[in-house]
Amino acid sequence: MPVVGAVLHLRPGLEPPTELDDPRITVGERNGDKLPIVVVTDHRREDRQLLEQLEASPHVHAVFVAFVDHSDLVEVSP
Amino acid sequence: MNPDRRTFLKGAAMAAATAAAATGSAATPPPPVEDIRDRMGPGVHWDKAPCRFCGTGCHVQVGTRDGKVVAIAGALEAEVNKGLLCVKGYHVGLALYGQDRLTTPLLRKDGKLVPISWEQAIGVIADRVEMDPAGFAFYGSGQWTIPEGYAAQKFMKGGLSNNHIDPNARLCMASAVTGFLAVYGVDEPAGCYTDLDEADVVILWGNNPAEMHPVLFSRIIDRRTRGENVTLIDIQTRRTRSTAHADHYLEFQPHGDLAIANGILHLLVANGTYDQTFLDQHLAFRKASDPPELKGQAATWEEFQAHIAAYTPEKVEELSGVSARDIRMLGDLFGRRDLKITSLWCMGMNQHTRGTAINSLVHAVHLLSGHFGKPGDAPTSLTGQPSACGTVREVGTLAHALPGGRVVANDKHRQQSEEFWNVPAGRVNAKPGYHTVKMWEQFSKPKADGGDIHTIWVQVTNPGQTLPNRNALFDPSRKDPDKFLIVSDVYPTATTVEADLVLPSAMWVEKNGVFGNSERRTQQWFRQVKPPGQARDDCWQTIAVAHELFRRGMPGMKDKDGRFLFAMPGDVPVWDWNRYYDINVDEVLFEEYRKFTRMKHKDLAPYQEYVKAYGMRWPVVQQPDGSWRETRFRFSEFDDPYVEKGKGIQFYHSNTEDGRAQVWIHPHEYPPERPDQDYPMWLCTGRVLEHWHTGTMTGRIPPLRRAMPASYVELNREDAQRMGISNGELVRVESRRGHCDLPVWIDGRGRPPQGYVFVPFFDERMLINRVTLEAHDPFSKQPDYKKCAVRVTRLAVAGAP
Repeated sequence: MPVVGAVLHLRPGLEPPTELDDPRITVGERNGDKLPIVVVTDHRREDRQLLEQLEASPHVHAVFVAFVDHSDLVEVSP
Repeated sequence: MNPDRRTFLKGAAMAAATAAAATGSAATPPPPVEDIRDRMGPGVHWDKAPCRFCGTGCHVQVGTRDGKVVAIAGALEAEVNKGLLCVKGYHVGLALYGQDRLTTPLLRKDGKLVPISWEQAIGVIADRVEMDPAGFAFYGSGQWTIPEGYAAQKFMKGGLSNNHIDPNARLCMASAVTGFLAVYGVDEPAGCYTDLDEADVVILWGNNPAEMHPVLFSRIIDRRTRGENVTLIDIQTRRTRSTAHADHYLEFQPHGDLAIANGILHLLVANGTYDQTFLDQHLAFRKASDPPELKGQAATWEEFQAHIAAYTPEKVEELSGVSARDIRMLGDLFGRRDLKITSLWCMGMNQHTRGTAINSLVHAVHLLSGHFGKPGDAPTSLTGQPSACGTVREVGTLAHALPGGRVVANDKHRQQSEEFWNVPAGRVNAKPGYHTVKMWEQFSKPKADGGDIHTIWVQVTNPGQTLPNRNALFDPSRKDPDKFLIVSDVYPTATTVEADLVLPSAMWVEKNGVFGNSERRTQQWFRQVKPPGQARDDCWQTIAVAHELFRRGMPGMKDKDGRFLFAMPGDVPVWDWNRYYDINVDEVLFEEYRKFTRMKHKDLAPYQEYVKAYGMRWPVVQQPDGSWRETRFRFSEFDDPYVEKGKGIQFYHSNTEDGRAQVWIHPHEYPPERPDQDYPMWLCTGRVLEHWHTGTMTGRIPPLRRAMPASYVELNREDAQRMGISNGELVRVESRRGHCDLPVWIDGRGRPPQGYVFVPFFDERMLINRVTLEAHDPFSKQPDYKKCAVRVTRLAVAGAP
């Protein structure tokens, strides 16, 4: 299960995008125009799609990743 | 995943994101780094490493457990990226785990690659060297670590007396090198990334940092979100993601950048807005010599004025396509002393048959206007590879160079190198070797026709995909039984599939390493996981071949005292892979290399200082208290310890030996190939956000592959309508050298003007370098991948009789 911590850089003066109303996203405490979030998805392609959707929002000018867990992909259970 | 573990991970992810969001905020300082890592739970070991991909030099924290990389976090302690990573850095840990890693040496027998032992592989290479040492060549990389490049350099120049060693960086930043050398007498930028935090105006000269250097670009855009006023000027041949953030977009015709720079110089003089004091104290003038030499010959202020008199805004508009009004806007900006201006560039100015000239002219604009030497006032080139600066430019893994800014043609430099290497006088060959294009030409040419390179050993790069005009520079050698291609790599590539011998390599945190990034920052890391199968370090491979030749009695593999060229303290037999990590070979080689770095004031600190730091920018100079201090701004008295007191600015490696930088006279010229009736369009090639260069690593990362699964050709909408071509339709892009079939993308990520197409080069299934031109800059020898003439036809039409 992919877990990604990311930082949304919001456009000045704009509220966070409505795309954040998604059960897979946990929103942290806003710091100026930066908003920390955590994305937890069932499949890795979902987190990428979610982050791309957020980056495409007119309220967001960039999304950067601060943390990613790869263990679901590289640790194969016996 | 059990719920407890998920909770742990969510906590760690939120803590990391919160901390990264808080960097730079005085109001909310980030939480302690240990808190974040502890939240990952027990059993995860964390250690630092620079990102494997581009030249920005972001630091990551690598989380490992049970011999695998299981997590990546942006390093909050790192000044470059302050805890943030781009989409490629986010996936960097997965680059190790593609399903088709090379894990055993492979030798081509009867047309097929079959497994052999390492002993056999090392023996095969030694045989090829022994057969004719002078016809053996090494083709390396800006992804070589500093010790890897240093070992290859020493093996070739200090061992074989053979200068046929050149890197892929010849294809990406050689013109930046010659630009710096021609202007300042020493390579690499004077400023650093701090300039991005201080500049009032940032000018992009043909680069697209929103996709290629996103973390650096965010430093500019972040300032706007904090309410700072930063003007972004985008000077390009096509609209890109960076354009969306620009205040001014200036679209120029290919090669028109020289006219634009000359136009700014014209206005500075015509308006009297140049910096007279800076000119009087710090500048001299230079023009081309006959025969052409990088240092040229002296020119006068009057000659310079006469040259630029022709570049009126109206004339520049005619030559470049940029309006006279916008040229005046640029001239006015550079004429203002109350602004700080930073110029950034990358491949657009370097992959250019006039690359040295345009690099020199952009420096001239900054120098003549006095926009130099203060934080925020800087001309700065960016690199595309993680150690193009550290390994290629500083270690000097180029056909003409020696470590630390030395050159093989200089008697004193050869003598110094021989002393540092403790090899007999005369060991280093005075004649420069073959630069990249020439090396591959000589390899592709039959021996009977003078093709005197019989073997090339490729490490950490993929020339089968990146050489220009592949049909001429790569393919012919593959049909010639006398030619032998050795490739060390981590995955099958467009080069390994054609190789005669393939060696499986360790990558990134599977080995120790040191990189040097775009801002002179040297960055160290330790091995954190073991490589798969029989994959081994490239540096070990070089040392093992050297030792096999030593064992066979080759004199060049001995130093003056008869010892092995790579003898280690305690005589640890590091050529035996089982003993390679008994000693830190990187540290031994780095300390040896460090002796070379003083001459050009590129001083490095001891290896152990880099172990403690998230990189340091050279020159790194020891202080009276024993500590080591980095230098952010070279040539400026307030920061550079090598500037004499009271000088303010001092170009202490001046080509004229008088402390002055050179302002060059370089006219605008048209490129060697331009669209015509048969090939009516411009082709530009380049990179994309999701893939790093040839995609051999990022292509193995499923989310990146899905995000950008295949190459394409960007086509202007009006051109497409005129040609009856629809979005997604397959077309043939064809030049006089070859063709490539690609789907069309109209109104996609990039927006080319009419008569212009863009194709990325990451996709090995669609080799656009069968189409490109190998014409190169006369000084840097760097080919121009940004412009050649092509025609675009619907595939059905192209295939018709």
